Amino acid sequence: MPATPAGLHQLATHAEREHDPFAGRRSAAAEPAVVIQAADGAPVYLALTREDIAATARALSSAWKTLGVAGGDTVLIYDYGASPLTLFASWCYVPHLEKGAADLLGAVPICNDGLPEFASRALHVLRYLRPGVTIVDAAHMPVFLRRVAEERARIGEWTRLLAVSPDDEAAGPREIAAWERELDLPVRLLLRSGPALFFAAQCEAGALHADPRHYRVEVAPVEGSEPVAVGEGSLCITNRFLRGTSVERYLANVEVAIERGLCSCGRSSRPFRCLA
Amino acid sequence: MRIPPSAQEIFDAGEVLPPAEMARRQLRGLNRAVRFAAANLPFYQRVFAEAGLAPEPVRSFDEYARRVPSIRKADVAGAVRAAGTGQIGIEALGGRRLSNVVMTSGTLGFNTFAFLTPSDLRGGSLLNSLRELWIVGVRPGMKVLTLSPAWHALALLDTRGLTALGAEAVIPWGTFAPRFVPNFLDAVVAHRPEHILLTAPVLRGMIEECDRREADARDVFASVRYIACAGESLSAPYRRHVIERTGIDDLFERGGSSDGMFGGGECFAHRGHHISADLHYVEVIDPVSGELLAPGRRGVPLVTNLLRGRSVYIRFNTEDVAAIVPGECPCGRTDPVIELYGRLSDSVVLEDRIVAPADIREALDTIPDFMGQPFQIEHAGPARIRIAMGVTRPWAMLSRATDAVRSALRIDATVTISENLAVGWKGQVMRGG
Repeated sequence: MPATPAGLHQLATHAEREHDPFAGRRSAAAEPAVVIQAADGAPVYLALTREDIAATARALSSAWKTLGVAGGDTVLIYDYGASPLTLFASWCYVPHLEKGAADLLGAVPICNDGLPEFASRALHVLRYLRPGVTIVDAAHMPVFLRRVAEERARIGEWTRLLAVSPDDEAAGPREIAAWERELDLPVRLLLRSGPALFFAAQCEAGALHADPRHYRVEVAPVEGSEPVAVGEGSLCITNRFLRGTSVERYLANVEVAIERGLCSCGRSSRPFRCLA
Repeated sequence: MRIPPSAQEIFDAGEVLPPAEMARRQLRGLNRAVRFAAANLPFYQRVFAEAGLAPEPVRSFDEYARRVPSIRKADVAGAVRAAGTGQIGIEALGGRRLSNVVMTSGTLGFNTFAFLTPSDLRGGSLLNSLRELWIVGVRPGMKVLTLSPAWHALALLDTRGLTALGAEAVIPWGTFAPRFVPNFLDAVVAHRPEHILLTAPVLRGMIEECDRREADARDVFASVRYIACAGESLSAPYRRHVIERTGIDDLFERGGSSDGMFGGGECFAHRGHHISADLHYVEVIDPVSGELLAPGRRGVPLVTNLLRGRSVYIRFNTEDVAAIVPGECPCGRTDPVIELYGRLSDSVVLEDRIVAPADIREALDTIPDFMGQPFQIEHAGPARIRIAMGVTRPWAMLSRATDAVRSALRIDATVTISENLAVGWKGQVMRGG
C-alpha cells in the first residue's frame, strides 16, 4: 500500500511528538555515515549511508547535466555548505563521498556559503573566476540582484547561465523571465527539496525534469487526495535511491503541472512546470 | 594512510622526528619549494627577480630569512586585481586535474583564491588534516558534529580527514554564524555526538542558548567528550568555564591561516598549535625590522608550504601575531608549536612589545561579565592602551576590568565602553567598522 503523502510540517510534528529526529523515516537496518538536517530550523534529519551519499551526488550531477554543466566548467554555488545543493557537489564537501556532482562531470565547484552578506562575495567570485554556471539559492535572489545593480555588474559577461534554486517552493515563469531581463543572462530553475534530497532541473526547452532512475514524481491534486502521475497539484516525490532514510511520497510545498507527453528536448522523463 | 590505534596519542612518525632530522628535511624542503617556484610559478619568478634572489640553495634558516623575499596578503590580492583572475601564478598544480577552488578569509576586504588537486587532498593536506583531527581527539568511528562551510580550505580538509577516520558526521543546517546556533544545539540534543568541530563564537552562543532554554548544559553536552574550536584563541579561564559548564573532557583550539593554507591543533598540553614541520615551515619575524625571531619572542608568522599539487605560499606573512613556543611538549611531539594571539591589525605595537587580542581576552575572561564579550584594543599613548568594549557594564565593573588588564599585562590600560564597535557576521569585532 503506497504511503500517505506527508510534507515537512507533518514530518516536523511527528519528529517532535515522537522525539524522533528522523520522523519515522530512518531505516533501522542501514548504518548511517552522515546525518544531515533537512531544512533550516526543522527538527527533521536524514540518515545517509555511504551508498546514499554517492547516489545523491549522481542525482545532483544529472540535474547539473540538464543545465548544461560540462567538463572543464567552474560552477559557483551561492548557498550554505550544509545545503544538499552544495554538500553533494564535491567529494570534499561531505564526508564519505568519493565523487561529487562536479567530479562526475569533470567540473570544478566553488562554494560561496549562503549568508545574504555574501552576495558581494558571489560577485567577486564571478568577476575573478568566470564560472560557466552559477547556482544561486532562490532565497538569495533579492539580495543578489541588489548587489548586481549596486555594483553595476554585467554578470552575463562572467557566466553563461544562472540557475536559481528554490528549496521546497516554486518559482514561476514570470519570475524567471524578470530575472533574465534584469541580468541579461539565461536563467533556469534547479528545483530542489531538502527533505526528499530531490533535484530537478529545467531543460533548454523550459520544462523541469527529474531523473526517473532517481525519483518518482507525482502530483496530489487537492490536499489529502491520492497522488496521480499526470496533472496539476502539489509535487509529490518518492526518492528511489535512499536506503538509510525512506522518502516515499514526500509532499513538497510546490504546485506543479506534470505533462502527459514527452518534452521537445528529447529526455525520457515526464516534463513538469512550476505553477506561479 | 595508516590509521593508528585510538589510544595512541601520536598520529604518525612524522610528528616525532628528532629535531635535527626535522630541520634537515625542512631545509631541503625549503630549497625544493624555492627552486620549483623559481622555475615554474610566474608570481614568484617576478617576486624573486625583483628581490634579486640568487639561484644558490640556502644552507640555514637564517640565510633563508635573509635571502628569500616575503610576500603579504596585499601582494596576492594585488596580483588577482592586476591579472583579473583568481589564478595568479602561485598554483603548483603540475598538470594535475584541478579538483576544488577555495577562498581565503578576505581580512583585507578582498578574498583571494587557492586551487587544490586530488593529489594534494589525498596526500600532504590529508595528512595535515588527520594529524590535526587526531590531536584534538577525533578517533575512528566517532560521531562528530560539524559543518562544511565549503568556501574555506579547512572545511574541505576536515571532510577528507573525517572520511579517512571513518567518523559518522552530523551536519546541522547553516553556517558558523550566530543565527544558526539553535540548529547546532538541536543537533547535539537529537544526535548525541561525541565530538564537535566548530568556531568559538558559535560555542559561546550554544552555551548561551542553553541558558535561554533553561537547559542544563551538562545534560545537553552529556555525550560530548571533546570540542575543537577554530577562528580565535581561547583563554585559559574560558576553557575552564566551558569544561565546567558542559562537563566535556577537553576543549581544543585549532589555528592557522586560510591565507597561507596551513594550520594545526593543540594537544592536551594547550601550549599552542602543533605545526606539521614536514608539510609547512613557519618562522616568526619582527613586524618592523623583519629580523628572524628566536622561540619565545613575538612577531608575525611567515609560512612556506612544502607541499605541491595546490596553491603554494612562500614566506607568506599571515599578518597575525605569533610566537614559537620554546621547550619540549609533554605530548611527545617534536614538531614546532606556534601560539597565535590574534591579527596584527587588531593589536597594538608598543616599543617593547605587541599587545594582542589574546592578551586582553585572557585578562577580561577572568571576570564572568566580560567573558567572551567583543572588544577592540586602541593605542592611547607611547606605553598606554585603551580597551573599548562592545557591551555596557557598570562603572565599578569597568574599573575591575581595568585592574585585571593592568595586573595581567603590567601596562597602563583603561577599559571603556564604545558604542561604535561593529560586529561582523561571525560575531567578531570589525576594526574600523
